[in-house]
Amino acid sequence: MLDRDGWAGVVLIGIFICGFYLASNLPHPPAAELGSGFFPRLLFLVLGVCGVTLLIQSVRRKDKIPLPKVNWRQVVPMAALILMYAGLLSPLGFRAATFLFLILSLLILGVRKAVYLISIPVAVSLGLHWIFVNAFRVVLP
Amino acid sequence: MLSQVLSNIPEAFSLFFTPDNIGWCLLGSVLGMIFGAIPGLTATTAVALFTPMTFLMPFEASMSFLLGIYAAGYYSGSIPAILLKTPGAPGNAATVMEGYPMALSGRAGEALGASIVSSCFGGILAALALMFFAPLLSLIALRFGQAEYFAAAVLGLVCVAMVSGKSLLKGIVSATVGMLLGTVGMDPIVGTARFTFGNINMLSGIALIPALVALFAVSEVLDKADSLGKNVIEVAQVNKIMPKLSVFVKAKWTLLRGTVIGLLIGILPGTGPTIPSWLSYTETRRTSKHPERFGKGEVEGVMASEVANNAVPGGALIPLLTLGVPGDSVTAVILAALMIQGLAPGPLFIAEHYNLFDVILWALVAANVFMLAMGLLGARLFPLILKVPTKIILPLITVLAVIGGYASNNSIFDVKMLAVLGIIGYVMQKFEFPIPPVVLGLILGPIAEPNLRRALISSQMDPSIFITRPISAGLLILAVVLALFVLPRMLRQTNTDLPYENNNVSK
Repeated sequence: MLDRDGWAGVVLIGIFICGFYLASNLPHPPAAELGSGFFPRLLFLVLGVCGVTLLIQSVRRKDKIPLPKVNWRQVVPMAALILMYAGLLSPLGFRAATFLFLILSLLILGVRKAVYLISIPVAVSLGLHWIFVNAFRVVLP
Repeated sequence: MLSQVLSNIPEAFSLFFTPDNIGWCLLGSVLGMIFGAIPGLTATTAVALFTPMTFLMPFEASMSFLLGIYAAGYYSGSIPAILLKTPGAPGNAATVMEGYPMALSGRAGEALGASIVSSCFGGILAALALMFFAPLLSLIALRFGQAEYFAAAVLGLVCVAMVSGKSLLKGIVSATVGMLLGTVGMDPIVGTARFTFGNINMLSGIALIPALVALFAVSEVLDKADSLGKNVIEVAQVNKIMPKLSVFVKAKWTLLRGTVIGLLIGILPGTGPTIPSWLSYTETRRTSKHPERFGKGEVEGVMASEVANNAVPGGALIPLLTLGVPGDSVTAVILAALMIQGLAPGPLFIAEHYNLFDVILWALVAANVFMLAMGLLGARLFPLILKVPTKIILPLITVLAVIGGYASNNSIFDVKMLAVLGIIGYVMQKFEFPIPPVVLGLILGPIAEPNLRRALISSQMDPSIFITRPISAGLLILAVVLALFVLPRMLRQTNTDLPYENNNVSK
C-alpha cells in the first residue's frame, strides 16, 4: 500500500518517463557535441531516481504517511476561481474580471456581510485600476 | 575596488537621501512590517508581490522600497512569534522559545523591544560587512570561468535543497523541477525550442517574475485558504516597549556572535535565516551563565535569534551582488528586480556600478533605521495587525499577484502561467516539497546549464575540468562538505529544541 510519498514517487516516475522521452526527441544539431536534450535528460533522470527512492521508502515504511488533508470546499473553488480570473482578464477587462473574482472569492472564503461583499470589490477593482494606470502607467487589459 | 566603493559613499549618500527614496523606503518598511507580521505571509511574499511594481521606478527608489520590505519583513515575523506562538517565517521560529514565555508572563513589550533593537543592530552591522566583503569576493569572482559558474550554481542548489524542507530528497526534487522549468524556451547554446509545445509565448521561456509571484504568493494564498479558520489563538497584550540599554550592553557578545553567524551563513548561497537564528540561539543558551533560565522567557534568547535573523539580508546580498547567485528566497526576487532595472548582478556588478552598490548599502542601513523607529513607535498596534481578517486579505493578494504577473511583460499568457504555477506550487507544498529550491532552480538552472555544456565542450567532454581548476574544485568540495557534514549538524540543532508546535510556520 502506498502512502503520501509513495504516490509522489509514482508521479515523479511518470514525469521522468514522459519528460525523458520528450527530451530525447529534441533536435540534436550535428555540429553540437551536446544537444538541447542533454541537460533536461539529466534532470529528468534525477527526478526518476528520486521518484524510485521515494517509492521504495514508502513501501518499506511501517508507519504510513497519510495523504495530505485538503479543505476541498475552499481550496478547489478558490483554485478554479484563480484560473477563471486569469482566463477572463482579457475578454472582460481588468475591472469587471477583478470585481467578479473578488465577490466570488470573498463568498468562498466565508465573508457574508453585504457591505464587505459590495464595497471591497468596487473599491479594489476601480482603485487599483486607477493607481496602476495613472501612477504606474501600466496598461491593464 | 574597495577604495572606489568607500570613496563613493558620501556621493551615494546624497543620491540616496532624497524625499522620494526615503518615502519609498518608509512605505516598503510599513508593507514589510504588515506582511511579516500577518501569520502565514512573509517578507518573500511581499517582495515578490511588489517587485513588478518597481518596473517604472528609478534604481534608487526600487531598491529603497524592496530593501525596506526585506528588512522590516524579516523582523516582523517575530511579532506573531512572540504574541501568538506562531513564527511569521521559519527564521523567527527560535524567537518563540523565549519570546512567547515572556509574553505569557506579561513581558510581551520587552520581548518586542529586544527583538527590534537586536534586529536593527544585526541588520546595520551586516550592511557594513557587506560593504567590505562584497568587493573582496568580487575580486575572486572576476576569475570565474564556465566551470566555476557551474560549481557556484551547484553550491547554491545543494544548500537550498538541504535547508528548505524536512527531507533532502524532496529538496533535490524541488530544485530539479525549478531547473526543468528553466529549460523551457530556446536552448541558450544551439537555439532550438524546448518543451514549448508549439506555443509561441513559451519560446522566451517561463518569465521569472510571474513565476516568482506564483510560487511565493498565489500558492501561499491557496495554502492559507486551506487552513482558514484554524489556529485561533489569544493575542498577548503589549505593554512597556522601550528596552533598557543595560540589557543590550550585557548581551553584547550575544549580539556580535549572532551577527557573525547570520552573516556567514547568509553568505552561503541559498541558505536563508532559519539555520543562523537557531544556531545563534542554541549557542547563546549553551554558553550562558544561566542556562536554566532558557525556555522560561530569557530575553537574551530573543536577542540571539533575531540579531542573526536580520544579519542574513546583509550576508545574502553578498553572493547575489558578486556571483549573481541569491543568498536566500528574498534575494532571488531582488535578482529579478535588478534585472527589471537592466542590471545583471555578477562579478562585474560592483566594479562597473560601485555607485549603485553604495546606494544599496545606504538603502539597507536606512531600511533598518526605519524598521527600528516603526518597531518602537508602533508596537502597540501590532496586536491589531494580527487580527486583520485573512479571508479579506487573501483575495486582495491574488489581485495584486495577477497585476504583478501581467505588468512585468504586459502579457495575459504570463497571468495564465502564474495561475497554473501557483496551483502546482500549492500541490507541491501539500506533499512537503519545499518552494524556495524551485525558485533557486529556476534562477540557477539557466546559469548552470550553458556553463556545464560549454565547460564540457571546451574540455573535450572531460568532466575532470570541474575538479582540476582550483576555485571550481574548492566550491564543489565546499558543497560536498556542507551537504555531508556541516548542514546536517546545524539542521539537527534547529529541529531538536522546539518544545512548541511548529506547524504554523509558513514556508
